[in-house]
Amino acid sequence: MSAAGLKWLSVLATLALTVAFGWAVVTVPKPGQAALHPAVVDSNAPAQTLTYVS
Amino acid sequence: MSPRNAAAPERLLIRHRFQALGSACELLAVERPREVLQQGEAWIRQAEARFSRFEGGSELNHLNQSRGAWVALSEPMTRMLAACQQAYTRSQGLVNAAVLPALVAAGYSRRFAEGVEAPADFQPRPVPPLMDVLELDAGGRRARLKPGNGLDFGGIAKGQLADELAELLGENVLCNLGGDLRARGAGLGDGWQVGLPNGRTVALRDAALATSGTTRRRWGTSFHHLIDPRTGAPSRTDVALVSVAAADALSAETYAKTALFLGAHKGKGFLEARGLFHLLLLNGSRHDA
Repeated sequence: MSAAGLKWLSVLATLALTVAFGWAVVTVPKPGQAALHPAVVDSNAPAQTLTYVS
Repeated sequence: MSPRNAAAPERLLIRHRFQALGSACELLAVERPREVLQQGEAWIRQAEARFSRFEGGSELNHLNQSRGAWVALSEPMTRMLAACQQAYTRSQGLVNAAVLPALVAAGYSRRFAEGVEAPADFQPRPVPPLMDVLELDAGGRRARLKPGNGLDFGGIAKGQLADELAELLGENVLCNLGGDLRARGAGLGDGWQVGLPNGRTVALRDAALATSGTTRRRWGTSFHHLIDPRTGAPSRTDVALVSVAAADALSAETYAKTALFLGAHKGKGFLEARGLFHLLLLNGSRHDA
């Protein structure tokens, strides 16, 4: 089978599984935990320390 | 009771505060003996004695007063000078440790707490490129400073020392040296909770945050401590302060200061081009990223 054929087969298989099981996984940030950067997340928790101009 | 229903034991956050480097410092750790953080304070005080221009016998003053002679360097000084070179390169020349003569000309010739006054006659001159002023030998164990020049580490030292101390203290610690902070681990589990200047809180994991601004350490009618090396005068930026997150505190400090010197428009572009989280506050208004 050609590469294009394999690609279409993969798409159709994914669609078939989604229809068969009736769900799909969608990842969203929790409220108050929006990703701002890989290592920085918005937070509702009290601050433990501050960054400030010294 | 099954493990699933058992309440998770509360983890203990240890905090140690002190004044050093002309700033409020704070060390935090999870489930660690307080003595570890006290040793961290002692380490910072040793570093201050080595790197401060206000400490009479400091290694920095020895280098600044060497009148063009080669000076043997301690290992910590070798690392600090390498940090200065890195900051200079990454900032495209805007974070320049050779700013000392310009700072002194602007009146910042003593500890800020001792009172700094504006000069009667201020004639700023551009700061020479760091690489023209500071020469390191091949091994980085000796340095030579061109006569008539001098170094001041300022925020570079805070960033570099926060990074080094966080490495020394081990996993799950936060080192905050006057607002330049380096976090390791995830604190109590959800990240280290850090308050930003606009009241917002962010959680950091294995990251650093630094804030640079013109809102403090001001004197006279228009003087402040952030000298723009292009003019040799206090920066006339439209940015009041900028906070930047990066992988390490030296980088965060460098990028924050660079953005401040570039001004809001170019500074924002500079930070966005590097994919850095940032918060910019403008003079007289607010602008969030």
